[in-house]
Amino acid sequence: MKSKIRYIFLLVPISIIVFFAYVISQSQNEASQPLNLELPEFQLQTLDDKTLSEKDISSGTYLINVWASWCITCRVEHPFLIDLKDKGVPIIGLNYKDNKDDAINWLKNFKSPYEISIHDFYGTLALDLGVTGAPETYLLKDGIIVRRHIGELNIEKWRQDFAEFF
Amino acid sequence: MIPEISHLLTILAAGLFLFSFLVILSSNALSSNDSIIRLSLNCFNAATIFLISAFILYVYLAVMDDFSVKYIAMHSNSDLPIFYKISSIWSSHEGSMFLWILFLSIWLWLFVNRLDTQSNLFRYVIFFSAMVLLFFLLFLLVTSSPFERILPLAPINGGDINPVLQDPALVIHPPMLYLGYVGFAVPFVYICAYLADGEFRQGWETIIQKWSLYAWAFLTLGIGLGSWWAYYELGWGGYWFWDPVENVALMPWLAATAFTHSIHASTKSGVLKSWTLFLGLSVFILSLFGAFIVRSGIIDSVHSFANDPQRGLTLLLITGVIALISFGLFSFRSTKIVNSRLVVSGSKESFLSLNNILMITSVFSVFLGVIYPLITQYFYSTKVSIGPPYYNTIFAPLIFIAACFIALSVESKWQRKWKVTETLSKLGIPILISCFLTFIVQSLHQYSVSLIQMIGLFSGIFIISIYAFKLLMNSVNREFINWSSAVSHLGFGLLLFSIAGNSIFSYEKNLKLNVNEEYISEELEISFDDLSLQDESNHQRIIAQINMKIHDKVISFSPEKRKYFTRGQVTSETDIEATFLRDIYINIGEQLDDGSWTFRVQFNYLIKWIWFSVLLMILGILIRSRAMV
Amino acid sequence: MQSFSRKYLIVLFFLFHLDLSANDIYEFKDSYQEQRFFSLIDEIRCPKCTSGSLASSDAPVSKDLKDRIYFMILDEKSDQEIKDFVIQRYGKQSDYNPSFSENLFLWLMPLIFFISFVIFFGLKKRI
Repeated sequence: MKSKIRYIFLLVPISIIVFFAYVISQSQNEASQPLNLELPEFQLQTLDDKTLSEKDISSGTYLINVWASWCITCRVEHPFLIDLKDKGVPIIGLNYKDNKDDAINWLKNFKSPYEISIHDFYGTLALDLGVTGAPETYLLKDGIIVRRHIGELNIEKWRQDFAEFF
Repeated sequence: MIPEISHLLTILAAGLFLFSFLVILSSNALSSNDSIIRLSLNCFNAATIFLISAFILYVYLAVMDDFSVKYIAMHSNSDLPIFYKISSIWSSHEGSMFLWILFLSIWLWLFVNRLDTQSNLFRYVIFFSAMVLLFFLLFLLVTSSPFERILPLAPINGGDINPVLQDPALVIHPPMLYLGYVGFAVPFVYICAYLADGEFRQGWETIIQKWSLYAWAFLTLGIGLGSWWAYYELGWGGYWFWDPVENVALMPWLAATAFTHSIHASTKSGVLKSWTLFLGLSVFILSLFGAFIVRSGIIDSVHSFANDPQRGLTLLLITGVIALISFGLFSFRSTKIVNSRLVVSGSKESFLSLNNILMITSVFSVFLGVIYPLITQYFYSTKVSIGPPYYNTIFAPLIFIAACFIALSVESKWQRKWKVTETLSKLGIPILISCFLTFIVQSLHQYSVSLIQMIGLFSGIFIISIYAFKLLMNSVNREFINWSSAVSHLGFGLLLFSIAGNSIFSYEKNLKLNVNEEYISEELEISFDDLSLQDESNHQRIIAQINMKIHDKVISFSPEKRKYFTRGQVTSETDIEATFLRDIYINIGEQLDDGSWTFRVQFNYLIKWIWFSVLLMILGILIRSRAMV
Repeated sequence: MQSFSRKYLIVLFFLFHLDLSANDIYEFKDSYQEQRFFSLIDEIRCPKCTSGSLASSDAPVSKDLKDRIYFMILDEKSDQEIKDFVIQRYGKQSDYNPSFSENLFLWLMPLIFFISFVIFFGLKKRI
């Protein structure tokens, strides 16, 4: 074996090891995703029997929070959302694949952090937004969805990804 | 008490491996000091006995429901039947690592005790065996101990194991797979010993050849069982998804297949020695790499254990050190290896040499597919997914080339250039048959057949017809036929054909039916006759009674959906009606708002042929190992 | 566009498929469309699962996506348009078939690897 080639047998394993060591060290940080999605057209009922369409929320900055009465983690993030509401952050609720009465009762029992709550029973708006489950939170700024966060929203995630918009 | 004894025995085993290792290290390398080697061997043997005893005690603990042991509490339950209590031991990381190490020590123990103690390599074999075992035992004891206790208040009962794991195939799949992985530790330590010794005497290949064949058989069986389980249990009708965890089992298998071919050339003709050495090291290193990927959790896969960076880093380092030592030995020592002769172009040896390149290309491609998403994610902040479309596209030409190699090398001779016209004339008929049949499938099939499917189909038929032809010539003309090669390659050809056929011919229907409703089409009638709800000890299930009338036959199906109490997990139990040609595979979906249920009805062709072809490949290898006494 | 056209399609669907095939959830105009559907759900990744295609997933979002893809096919949308729809919402990782032009290294390396090895080692006499 030529003397130079033999070093490849050492170099390849070493670079693979270094690569994976790097991957391991990085694999802990998972931030939310920045997006650039136009708010989809929709026309849906809200939980208090009004009708909402995309035109109603196409200007201004809002949080859209995907929630459901069957979602356990939503209960965990709920106090933080109330906190945000008290601080003046406008939150639009997207009630995902939920029974209307169950949803209304949930809000009655736990207090509503939402300005208004869309009843997306079939999940059509959710599918257009790219929702995979609850809880998820989106940032809507002047008709464009600019952030998506999957999972529970808490103070660290808020500071990291959303606080700058308010 | 007993957990402590088991734990202590394991620690003692580690200590003895360490001692055995140090004894050799400090012994005089020039003179072979008999009593030192004997001491080292005795320590090694004692360590293995201790490890076996520790494991037997652990099995006892699992069977006796000792829930003060944290691992048993987390993965077993007093309601489980006995063999699921035992299999729960290898249902997660710590326990399966324990099993893996147990098998490793047993394989090496058997090998070491059958070696000639007078051989120069003996000391090195013990050295490397003890080293590898020591590393992994330390890993087990320090980072992944199955012996942790929950004291003073042990739980009264354990948590349930994932219902998907309560299945006979899952009982046997990991043990078979591990026997395959660790079986290749034998060629690994022997090759390290051979390189460390540096004398390079002849005949080293024959010592490990039979061991390698058995290891290959286990590895193939282990992977096959995994696919079999996925098909019957997971409910989506597929058997291979190119999931990262499947891929890291495939890589050692590809290298192992290359190794078995290369070592054949080395024993028969004294060539390709460097290749054989390199491949022999690679198989084991690739299995260690696979263990790292699966157990560190850094890659998204349905199969992987939880993400644990510390554990991942430790495994990475162990694999890295072992790889560097062995590849270092290879690169610095193998210059002195001399082949017995030159390779004649167009001879069987030259085809085997090209085959090695083909197989490591396939290992490389799978490896690239596994790490590419990591590269793009961490260096370019883009997420890319790699799945069947990529692997099928890359493997199609590789398989075609492999089929051509098989075709050409079957007729080729050792050390002599192939006779072009003679070879091609023998291949003429198989080529015609393959083209003809592929063309027929293409034109008759109602959907379009993709190029990849056609390549797979053609390659499969080509290989089968070559060997069918050879069998014919053997029975009519008494022409020589290498039975083991014929059976294994026939199995391989059948595998390609069945995979392609399954992909081309299978289809499905997604139905929604209310109870007592029927679906009627030209070919079949399906009626949803009944839905019953039943309570079992650890789950609740609904059973649907489906009757299908197809080609004047009536078949009944009872697929189920189960909800397990402890974890709230919902599983779907498929019902399958299998015939020689195809499986009819029915699954319950979900209930819709109007009370009707969705059903997924699949017609999966040639599934049984896939399992059969895997068995054929293994049979061929067993024929070979029987022939080598 | 999407929600409105979906309602339109549901009406069309029921107008054309009133009788026996009303029980087939994914009824297509012809076998070509049917094949496109099953190929697409094999190539598109389930957004919620750790790994796996839409075809192999029972998750609610997978089912919704499958239904939406079904309607998009009936609506004569091309494969690329459907994939773009999914990618825009769920990210590039939704496509199990990474694009050739953006991933040249991925697609070409195996070939380059094979050819280089054949040139450097395959034709050697002393190996």
